[in-house]
Amino acid sequence: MQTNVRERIPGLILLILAMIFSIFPLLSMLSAALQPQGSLPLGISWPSDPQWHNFVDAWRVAEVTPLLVSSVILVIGVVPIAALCATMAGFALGQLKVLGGSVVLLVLIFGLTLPKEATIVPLYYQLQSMGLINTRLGLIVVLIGTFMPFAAYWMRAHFITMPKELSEASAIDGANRWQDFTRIQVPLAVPAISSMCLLLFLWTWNTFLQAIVLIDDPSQRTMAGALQNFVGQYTTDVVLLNAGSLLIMAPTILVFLLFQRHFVKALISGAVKG
Amino acid sequence: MRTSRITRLGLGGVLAGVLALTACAPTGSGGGTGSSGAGDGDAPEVSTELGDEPVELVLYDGAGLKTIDDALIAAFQDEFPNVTITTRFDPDNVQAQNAPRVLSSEDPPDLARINSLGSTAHNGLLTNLDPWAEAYGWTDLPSGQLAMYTVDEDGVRGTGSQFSLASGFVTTGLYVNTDLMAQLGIDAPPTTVAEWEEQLATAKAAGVTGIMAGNATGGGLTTLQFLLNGHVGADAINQWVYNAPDATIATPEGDEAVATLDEWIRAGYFNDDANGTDAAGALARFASGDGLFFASGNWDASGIAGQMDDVTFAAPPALTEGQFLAMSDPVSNFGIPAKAKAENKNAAAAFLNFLLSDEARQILVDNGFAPSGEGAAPTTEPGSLNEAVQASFVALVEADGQVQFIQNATPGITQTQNQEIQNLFGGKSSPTDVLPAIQKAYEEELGR
Amino acid sequence: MTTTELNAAASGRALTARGRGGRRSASERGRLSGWLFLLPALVFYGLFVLWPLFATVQYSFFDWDGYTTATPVGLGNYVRVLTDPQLISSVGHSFFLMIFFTIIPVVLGLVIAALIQEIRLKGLATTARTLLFLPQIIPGAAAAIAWVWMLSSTGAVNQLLSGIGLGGLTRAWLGDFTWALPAVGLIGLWLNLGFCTILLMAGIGKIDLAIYEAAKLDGAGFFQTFRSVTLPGLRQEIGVCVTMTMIAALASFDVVYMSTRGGPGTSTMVPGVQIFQLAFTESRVGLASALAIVLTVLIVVVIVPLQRLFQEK
Repeated sequence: MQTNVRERIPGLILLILAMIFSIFPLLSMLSAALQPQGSLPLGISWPSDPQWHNFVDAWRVAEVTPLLVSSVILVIGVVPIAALCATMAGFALGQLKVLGGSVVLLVLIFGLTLPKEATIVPLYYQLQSMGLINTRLGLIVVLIGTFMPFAAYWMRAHFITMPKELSEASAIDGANRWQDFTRIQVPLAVPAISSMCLLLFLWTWNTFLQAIVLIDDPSQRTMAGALQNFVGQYTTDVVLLNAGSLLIMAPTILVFLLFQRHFVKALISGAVKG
Repeated sequence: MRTSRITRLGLGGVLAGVLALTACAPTGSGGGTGSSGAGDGDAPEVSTELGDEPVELVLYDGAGLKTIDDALIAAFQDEFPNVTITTRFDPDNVQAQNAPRVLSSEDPPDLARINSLGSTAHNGLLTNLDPWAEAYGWTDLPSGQLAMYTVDEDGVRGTGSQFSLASGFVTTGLYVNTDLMAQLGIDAPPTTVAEWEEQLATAKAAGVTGIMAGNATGGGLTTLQFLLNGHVGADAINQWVYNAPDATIATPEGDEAVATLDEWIRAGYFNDDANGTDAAGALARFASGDGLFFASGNWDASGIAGQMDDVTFAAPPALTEGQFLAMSDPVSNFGIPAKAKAENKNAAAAFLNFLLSDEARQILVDNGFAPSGEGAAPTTEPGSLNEAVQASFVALVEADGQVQFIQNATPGITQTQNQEIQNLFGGKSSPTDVLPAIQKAYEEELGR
Repeated sequence: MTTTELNAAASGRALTARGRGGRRSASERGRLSGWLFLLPALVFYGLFVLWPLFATVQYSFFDWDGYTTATPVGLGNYVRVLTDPQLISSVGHSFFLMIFFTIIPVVLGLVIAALIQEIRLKGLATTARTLLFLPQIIPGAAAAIAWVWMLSSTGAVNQLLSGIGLGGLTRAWLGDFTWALPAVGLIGLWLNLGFCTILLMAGIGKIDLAIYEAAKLDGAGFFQTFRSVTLPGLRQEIGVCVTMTMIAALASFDVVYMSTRGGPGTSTMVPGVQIFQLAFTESRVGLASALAIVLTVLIVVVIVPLQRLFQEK
């Protein structure tokens, strides 16, 4: 739609305001993180003597390295398996007319509305009886299960838009269901899969409640757990807290920056399908 | 939504399944079945000799205590080279939540910080330490301290068998900004509540914040308890915290204390934004010169000393002359889980005994805490804030004035206490509502 | 290859297949063998979500502290949940939060998205997307930490207010009985605004340009176009936004817990935090479970009718 310049200015201003609003808290965290340790920073103010080493100190105090490794391990465990299961499920629900598929879908969607607090206590005892308590494997399988509703729904939404005739055509060519899936459907689904993987990565990385409850050894948890190490029982160092928080956010921001084009492309991919 | 027959059938099946399963009772992790004070039937001989066999222990505590615990362990391992202790720390604010599950698991640590001693012992999760108490002579410890370690058959603390031993103690009092004090023409920190009130009025008149309080995290409770101690008395409060039967905190004397606090709030002796300031914020502001008094404990000493020179530490002002009462309880109340390896318990008990040694006591003091047990006063830097804190503690023990924190009465009582104190500061409830509300939550949680 | 060409090619073949009569058995096989594809996902979901959920329902009928024996109490916990004034008010709080979590982000997002039809500057577009989405990336706990500090009496928010001359409004936002809940809402608004805006912008991009042209030819002005073309076209995106943010408001935990923990007093208490406290701090697993079930039912009751509204073709 062609709009003239005058009509677009209010929108641009609003957009810029929204952008500033979005980044404002992060900037204030940065300005706090650079203050001398143990002090109480006031508002946003660029410190006269930026203490860049605070980041190093925060890294050390919270023992971030093992947490980084741990989070990476968790992501590697969760994302590929969850993506595979979800894609297969989405294919089944969206393309194949599985018997009772709508029941399954409803049961899955119900999971979307389930607050995580509703299942965390039973999960502890369940993992314990399975011998998986305090293990990363335990957390991994729990997270995969937790992500299934969204991931399967997301993939189904993609597969529904694929013309059925594609599968039928390949069936006629003699391909069985699995070959059809792997050679035709999956490659076409890559944008949807990659944006979903981005989300799964984010959610795994930022998992907090399940990591704290299901794994007692802090060095086996996620990066989000590191934030708590600063909040000691008797004192809190606001400066280090901000520095540490920024460190924890850095990996996810980096990954997002690298892949955001893919992600947004997926969202807009509908444009071609008119 | 158009639902096909199959869908509806399917959903019906799911629902039926759910209802069927709810008939069964939940099963716990198998830890403890409500028996009280369980002993350890198949333990090897209780001994104070550790021999030469290598022993590996696991110690579990909150992350904030890492420095102290590491130092204690290093010193202990020097004395007992065949014992190695590895540590497991949980972040402080989740340690209390995880503790019950950690203690009741099949492979608990050999030494663990115990948060709710009464219920934990009552549930049979702790080893009865009486045999070692006999062997090591812990029964001679000051009665006020022993009371913090003992639990009777009904789960009431204060008397009975010993289940824990503290690595050290915290102590509470008033930090006073000596610079402001001089400016206001005040000679010395208040020794009585009446004096305190006068000094607060002087501060207010000069536009100085009287008491800096971080009430977003319940900081006002410290001042409240200073007043409660005087009005209600140590015994009544300790009984309440120890869950003695029929203990109550909602008494006319208690209400008097709350009323005084309320008057001070209305008179503006606290910072306006107490409800919006948390503990860390309050400390930082006091350390930067905002506030004449800061009601807190030794745990803030190093933080304050690091930023302030003109500060001292005083005992909580007494209601009546000669009274000396202050909140003081264990830094880490260590116990030995009942399900810990039997062959490790002697070594674990040896560690507990080590906490009473001169060396351990010095380590505690060096880290800004008060030492466990009794003996020669460990050394502190002359003129330092820590010196004032330690002196206060020594006098406290001599006067047998250690009072339990009201926050420790039950695992969940702080929720209600924080809410009530915030309501009071914000003028949302009247003084006579506060203690009854706390008592009600207390009774509910204890099932009374 | 466009979709239409694909369709043409495929349907041509399909006709032939139908003629051969092998198609019906293939689709039959599909309905059953398709279950093999579903199985892995369902196993994970069933074991680690549904099974514990059933257990929560179980627990809700007992009085249990989590590690000793449990005593059955029938519907006692549920009665408590539905009659306790504090629990009821916490539900009210989460509904109030919806104003900030849902309504404002969707409305503002719509406005921004509608006003930005296409951004000529590629650089601006990418930067905008990146910045707007940033709040969604960071863990809720970190967001709360940032905002707690900004909302304190010496924080950036008050600094800003003083800077623009509204110094009289400054206060410790999260410690004020009246303003704590809206302040928490502000954090939620920050978290959700970017997400909704991007989603709606992408949605607008999907609307066929031809319809806009037609509207313009009919002489429709900005607002008319907005109402008759943009809004209906965005129905699905608005639906997604509203659904996800409403669930976030009702089940909110991270933000409230890390910022106020329900205080001051109980002015910002929400069911999510209440459940956590009951189960983990007060060891009242039965009551926590009952509250969790009630919350879940509440969410379903609110969300399901909305789906009907947004997905009718």
